Amino acid sequence: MLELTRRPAVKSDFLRASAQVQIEVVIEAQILSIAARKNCAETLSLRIQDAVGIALPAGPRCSTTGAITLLGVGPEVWLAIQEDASARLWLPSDAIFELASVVDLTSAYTSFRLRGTQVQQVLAGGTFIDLDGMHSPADIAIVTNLSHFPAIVWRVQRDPSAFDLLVPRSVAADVWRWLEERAADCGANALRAHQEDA
Amino acid sequence: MSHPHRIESGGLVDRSVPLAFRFDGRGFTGFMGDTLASALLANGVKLVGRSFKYHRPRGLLTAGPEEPNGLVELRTGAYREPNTRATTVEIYSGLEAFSQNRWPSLEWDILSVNDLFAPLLTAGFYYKTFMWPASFWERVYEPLIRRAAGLGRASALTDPDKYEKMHSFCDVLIVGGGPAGLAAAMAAARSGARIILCEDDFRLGGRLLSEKCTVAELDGAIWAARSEAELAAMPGVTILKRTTVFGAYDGGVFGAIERLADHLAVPPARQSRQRYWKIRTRHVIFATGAIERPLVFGGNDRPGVMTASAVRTYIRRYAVAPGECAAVFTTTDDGWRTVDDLFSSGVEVAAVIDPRASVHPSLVAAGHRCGATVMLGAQVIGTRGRRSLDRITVRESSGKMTSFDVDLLAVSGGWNPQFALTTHLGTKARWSPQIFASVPGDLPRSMTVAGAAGGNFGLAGCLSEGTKAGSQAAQLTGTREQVAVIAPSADDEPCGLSPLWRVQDGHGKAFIDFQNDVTSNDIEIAVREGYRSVEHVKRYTTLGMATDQGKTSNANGNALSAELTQRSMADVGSTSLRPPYSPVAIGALANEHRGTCFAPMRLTAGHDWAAEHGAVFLDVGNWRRAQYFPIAGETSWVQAMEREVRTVRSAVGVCDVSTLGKIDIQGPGAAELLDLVYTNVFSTLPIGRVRYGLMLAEDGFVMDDGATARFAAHRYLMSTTTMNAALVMRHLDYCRQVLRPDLDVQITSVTEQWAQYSIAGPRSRDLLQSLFGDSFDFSNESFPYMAAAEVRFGEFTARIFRLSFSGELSYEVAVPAAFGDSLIRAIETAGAPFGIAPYGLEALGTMRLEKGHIGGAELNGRTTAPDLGLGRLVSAKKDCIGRILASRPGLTDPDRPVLVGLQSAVPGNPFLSGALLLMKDQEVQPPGEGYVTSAGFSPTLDRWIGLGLLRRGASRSGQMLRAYDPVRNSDTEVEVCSAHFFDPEGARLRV
Repeated sequence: MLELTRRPAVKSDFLRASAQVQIEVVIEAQILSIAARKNCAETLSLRIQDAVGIALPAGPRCSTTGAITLLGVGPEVWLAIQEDASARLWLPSDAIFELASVVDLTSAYTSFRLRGTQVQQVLAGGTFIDLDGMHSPADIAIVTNLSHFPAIVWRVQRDPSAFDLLVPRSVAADVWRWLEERAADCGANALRAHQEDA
Repeated sequence: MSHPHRIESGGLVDRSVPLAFRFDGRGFTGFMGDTLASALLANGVKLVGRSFKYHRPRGLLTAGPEEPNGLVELRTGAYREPNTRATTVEIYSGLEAFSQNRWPSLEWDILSVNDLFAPLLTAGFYYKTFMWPASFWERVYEPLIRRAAGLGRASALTDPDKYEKMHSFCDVLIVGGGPAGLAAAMAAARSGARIILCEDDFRLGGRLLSEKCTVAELDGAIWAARSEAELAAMPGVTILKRTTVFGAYDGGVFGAIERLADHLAVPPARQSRQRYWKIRTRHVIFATGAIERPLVFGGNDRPGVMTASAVRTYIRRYAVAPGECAAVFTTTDDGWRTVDDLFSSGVEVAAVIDPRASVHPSLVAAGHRCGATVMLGAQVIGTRGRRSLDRITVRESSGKMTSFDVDLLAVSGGWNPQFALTTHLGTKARWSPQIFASVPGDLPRSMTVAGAAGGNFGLAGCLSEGTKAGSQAAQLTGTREQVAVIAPSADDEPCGLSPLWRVQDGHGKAFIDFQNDVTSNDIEIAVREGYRSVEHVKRYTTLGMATDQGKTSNANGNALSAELTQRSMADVGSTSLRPPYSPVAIGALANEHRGTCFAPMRLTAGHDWAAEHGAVFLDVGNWRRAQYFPIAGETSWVQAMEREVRTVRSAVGVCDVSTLGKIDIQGPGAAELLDLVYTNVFSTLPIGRVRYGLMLAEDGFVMDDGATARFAAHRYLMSTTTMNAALVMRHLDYCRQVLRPDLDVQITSVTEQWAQYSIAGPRSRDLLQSLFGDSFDFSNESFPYMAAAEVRFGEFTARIFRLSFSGELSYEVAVPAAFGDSLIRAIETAGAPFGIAPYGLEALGTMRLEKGHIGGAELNGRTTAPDLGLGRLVSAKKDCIGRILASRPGLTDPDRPVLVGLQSAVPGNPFLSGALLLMKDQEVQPPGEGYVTSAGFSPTLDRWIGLGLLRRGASRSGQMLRAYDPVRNSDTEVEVCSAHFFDPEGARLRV
């Protein structure tokens, strides 16, 4: 019997924290890709709504209910993200499978959460997307590049000052270094987990 | 602290903060707020550089970023920066600057002898000389030219500075913080627009800082400071000083460089030296001002000849008198304003020379009031002075010659609006006969020009235009409140002019382009030799091609071309202006993307494990892959590779293959899509099986290969080569979205999701059975060659494939990447009793060579399926992408090079990939018979083997050829043979 243990792409005991920027790795985020079958997007959205309580967002937007966030990441393609470590991943039923290709991408991404007064400054160093709350939709979700890393960025709906970031697992360590560098430029010092300098 | 030329009071420098600096090793002091140029002038330094070609002594011509003469090297060692304009360098304590383009010293420059040979060094001389003798070119001429050419010395050391990048968005971008820019910013910001105001200078105000003027009943400089304070307090306003907008690009995007630490000795810890801004705006207002034109007359480059506006800047802003006794040579009313400033600062004004026959009486009266000799209808025709000006010669309207002993000559030939940024997207300038200058042409709705940049040179006009532009821009971008914004009041000075493009029959060289040493004579030569287009004249004479891009010279040069070809300025036009507007450090453009941050670094889940085992890594695309795993006693990669190959062939090895592309393909149309993109059939692939597939591009050439497994009726997993993973993903998306939108198929890249390891060797089955226990049966009967399976283990699913690239009994095991590190450690532990060793790309490459498998060198985009011996994989039963074009005559030519095996005639004699294949007695004549695509030493066969593409290769088995490699100096006899060197029947992988 093969017994293996999980290991995150970025060591989780580091947190960069200050009033300006706080960055943490969301270890337990579980991720599914949902791509609608041909001409099934509307029905799929209704069934998803029945299952989790929110419909699939139209376009590059995000919807959140409880611990589940749905992101529009392409034409009739969404990511379902569940970050509650204590809960089991929501598993789509056969009613969903017959309308969509569902692929587990839990290991494919590493999720970061960024908070603080300078978060937009940190992100503006890498992405050419207007994240100013006054000038971009509150439910914005973007598939973009952060510096030279592919990334998906969205505003955390229950904390509008925070942004979540998904990056491919293989570059997560490199993204972490980049975030550290940018956060330091914005005044945050390297700290161990859960320490804060502000 | 003695500044012999510092005016006792006034100016915008902070006299309480003295700053020591050095120029060419000599110590000086200046004040906070000085530029290097103003501080040097304050200390009486007039000679600041040598000209590019003739090495003539040069002084400061201007006081701004258009400066063509005062180029210096800043700092030392790795921080050295050449060609920096002294007029824009803020001094700081400890600044070290050096003059450039001279040897051994600025005062005594050997190459100033060039001036004596000027008749031989005219425009285009290098097209006519260095012809004979031909043998001198490489040995004499080129080295000499290389030694003499170039301006400044770049540091050869790694740039120690840090650079960063920032993206920003606004409703209105305002370029220029002079009166028009400030007025525009105030109007737009008061209307609620989100604005960014960029100013090249370290202080806002533009000409308000240099002129005696009143705005809203305040001194101009004070009004500018108050406006800045008001703007800074407003929401949605970003003020970027020390920021040059250098380029305009599509989609409302502008590039800018903010100099964060250039005014500091060394940037503080973590502080970047410069920040590269990429700004997207909905509307842009160019309030970039205008540049004063010098006048073209004999000896106009002598240190002490300076534009009139620069003289006023040095006097009023920096409290520096650039001379003791001055004359003013002006064709404009504006130039006359200098007279009063000179007089007020204690400089004697000897004469005011204006070629116009008459001017406004108030100007003449002002000249007389200052004690100057006023000479109308006169022209300066020559200057004198060894290293700086000491005399000018004036030809009066009557033809009489008069001389004045002066050390400063302020010249004013009119103003050229600065609108270069408006032309970056292709807008052409047009000639304005009203102001005798080019002005912006028809601009898109998202662009506005305000103030002097649009040809409005009066202060009141600038403020009014700026206010209007700001208000309108805010409205155009849909912002918010309709606020009635009233322009600040100001008085307009008279600004009449009559152009004088050059003084005829002067004494000495009359320079047009000071930085590239282009004279009026050079333009005459170009026109005489038939050049008419200003673009051609520019390239023949190098007019406007220096680092200043002709900011002070283009208009005069084009005007002279017009005069000489008897065309109007409108007909002559102007040269195209392209980004960057002014020089940009490469480091700023590269910003963080250098060194280890040059490209993203992709690590597999097993990377740390490999590093712990001493792996030497190789960058493959962005992936970092283990190349080999040296152990104690091994001194070269060859030893490690040979051991790893022997281990795999005799026991078992493990290799991380996570980097191979993996694409999940689902849906009722999945099989049909695969049949379309692969040359062979996949719709018939049984569930639980894997098949090798070959993919053609639309042009018929092989694009990629890989194995695809079927896990359910409508679910496949495609694998691609590491390098082509993204390409294949794009190709599949194109196929399903564009070529076959009718197919119901969804694709998802799952490369990142899976960590995958190849376990190869005769003991691989034993190892895996030990690792998996009873949960999976690896026997040949239960899990034969080319089988695939998914197995659920608690919270994860493992995928198992029986595939082989090495030619051995081999499996690939994949688990979600989060478990990848754990899996490789488990494999290592389970494999220990079987003698497992990790193997890297070198061993993998050698084993694939022994098996004759194609790799990246053979999949080079120029080979067809038959070229690679894979013609049988192109199914005749179905169509596929690339099939039709693969049957083009050129691709089916029997003479095409095809894949062959090669082995050295003498087993130990090496040959390398890239070597030409020649007949034994053939002369070296590319392309020869073909070339070696891959080669290496086979520890299994104990000889050098390789693959090559050889003309008519299929029929040449046994033939002896030369593998000739002039680059690495080898010439080896090789024999053409089968590409399948090892276990050609494949018996070992089916056991």
